[in-house]
Amino acid sequence: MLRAQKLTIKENTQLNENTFKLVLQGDVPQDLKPGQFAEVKVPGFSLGRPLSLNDFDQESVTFVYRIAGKGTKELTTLKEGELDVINGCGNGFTLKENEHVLVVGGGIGTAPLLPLIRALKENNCKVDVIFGFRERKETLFEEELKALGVGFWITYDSEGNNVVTKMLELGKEDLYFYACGPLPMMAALTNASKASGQCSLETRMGCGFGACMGCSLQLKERTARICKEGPVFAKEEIIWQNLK
Amino acid sequence: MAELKVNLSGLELKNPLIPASGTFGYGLDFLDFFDVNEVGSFAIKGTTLNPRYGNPLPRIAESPSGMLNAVGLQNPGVHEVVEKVLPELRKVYMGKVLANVSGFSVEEYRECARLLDQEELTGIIELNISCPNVHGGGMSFGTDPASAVEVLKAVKEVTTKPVYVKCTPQCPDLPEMCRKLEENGADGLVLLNTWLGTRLDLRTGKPILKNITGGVSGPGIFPLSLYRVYQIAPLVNIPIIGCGGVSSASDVIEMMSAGATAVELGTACLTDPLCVPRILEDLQTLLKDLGIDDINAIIGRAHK
Repeated sequence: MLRAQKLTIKENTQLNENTFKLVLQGDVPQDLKPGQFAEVKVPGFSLGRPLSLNDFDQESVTFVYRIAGKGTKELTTLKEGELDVINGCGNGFTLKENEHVLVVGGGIGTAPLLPLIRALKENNCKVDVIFGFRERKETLFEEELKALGVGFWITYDSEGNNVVTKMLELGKEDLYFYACGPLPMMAALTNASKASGQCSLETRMGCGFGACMGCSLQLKERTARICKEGPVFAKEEIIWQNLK
Repeated sequence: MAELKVNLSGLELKNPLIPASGTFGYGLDFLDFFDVNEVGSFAIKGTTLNPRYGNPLPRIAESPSGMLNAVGLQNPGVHEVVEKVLPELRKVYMGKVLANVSGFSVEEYRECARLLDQEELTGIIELNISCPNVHGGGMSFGTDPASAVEVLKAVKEVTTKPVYVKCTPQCPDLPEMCRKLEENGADGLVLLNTWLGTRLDLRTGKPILKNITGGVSGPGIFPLSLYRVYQIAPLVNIPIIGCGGVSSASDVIEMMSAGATAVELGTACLTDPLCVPRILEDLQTLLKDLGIDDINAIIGRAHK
């Protein structure tokens, strides 16, 4: 459930040029799900930064985040103390059981897919993973994927390859998919896949818990708040030009 | 414990804290955080006759001490609000609300207000002639006293409850506007809605908000709104609800000292969903330090 809380910074370390790992400790909600996010308040900034859960257990939450602007840049400088957090935001992914599925991530959008892959494996799914990055030095989670024992492929824009062409090359366009990444990537994937799937979306948010209507999106049959009814939606519901 | 009860046109509030329209939904999104019965009252999301999606995304930008929104009056329409939303709210909320009525024509304001006036939950009709994020309605009524009076009179004809008018800082002559509203039957004033502004994307140089402009809110505007309350309070004899950047117990005391009987909390509800219980606790400490045992004693003390 949603909880407004103070959590203690346990770790805030650099993973690569623009990407950091933040671990916060405290009395976290016990029902967190892959695909959910938290609004992390950076002192001196009005609005929280919506950061997806990269990992969580009974007493901590982990975020892997990219420097996207002044707020996240400031966040990288905080190495100790407490942060105000609204935890347990959003719906999270709906998990399949006993199925062969494809997990596709792009850039920092790969962060929420790690706990998803773990949960899918626990649900006895066969999981194939395609992650894409702009260039090799931006690679994330390669070691984690090896340790998880899933089949995985990594593509690099700089080498003329991407997750969609890789999916088609591997003939995996019939697999039910989960996706998180840049909007053009997810739109292209949705188009190219012959199967159904779920996409985790983002936009600029106000509150992160459904009060301000700042992230309300028109879907094909309904209107939904990305922060509350989302951020994960079935691909069939999404009208991509409404996100541009 | 200091007495916090205040009275708005006969409606008794257990405290002067009122989450502002558009920052508290219909109350239901805060149930995860605290018992919403702790609020003095709250203003429901701006409601129009017909359902509205509002403006395209992005609708939100940040400022150094606040935020901008260009939501554009998204709401399910008054019929759904009356038939589905308010019955849900009645199950969990025992108080009364400020029913925020918005519109694009005098007729729409009148019909929307008529329907909300019949609701048991409605304590006050809050006439929103100040939304900066819609075109052809909202704020255009709030910048011209003749148009504002026309809407007010039409709404007063069909309502039995007190009508408070939420004004815009974009009004070129706010003192004149407020005098005219009082003369024509306004029971109270809400000063003020958001201030028109914009932000540009650092990389592209283009506006962040798809609507180009948005309403600026948050602690950064507090002195601006406070001054307008200070300026208007001596000119009228109807209650004022102070609104604009209030985010702490000391802000509440300043706003009430300037002449407000109660305050609306906007951005504070979005950036700290627990702001109402937090401010209530701080308010007791602060009033004790100041040696004040009834908060009514500070209303308008700036002018005494």
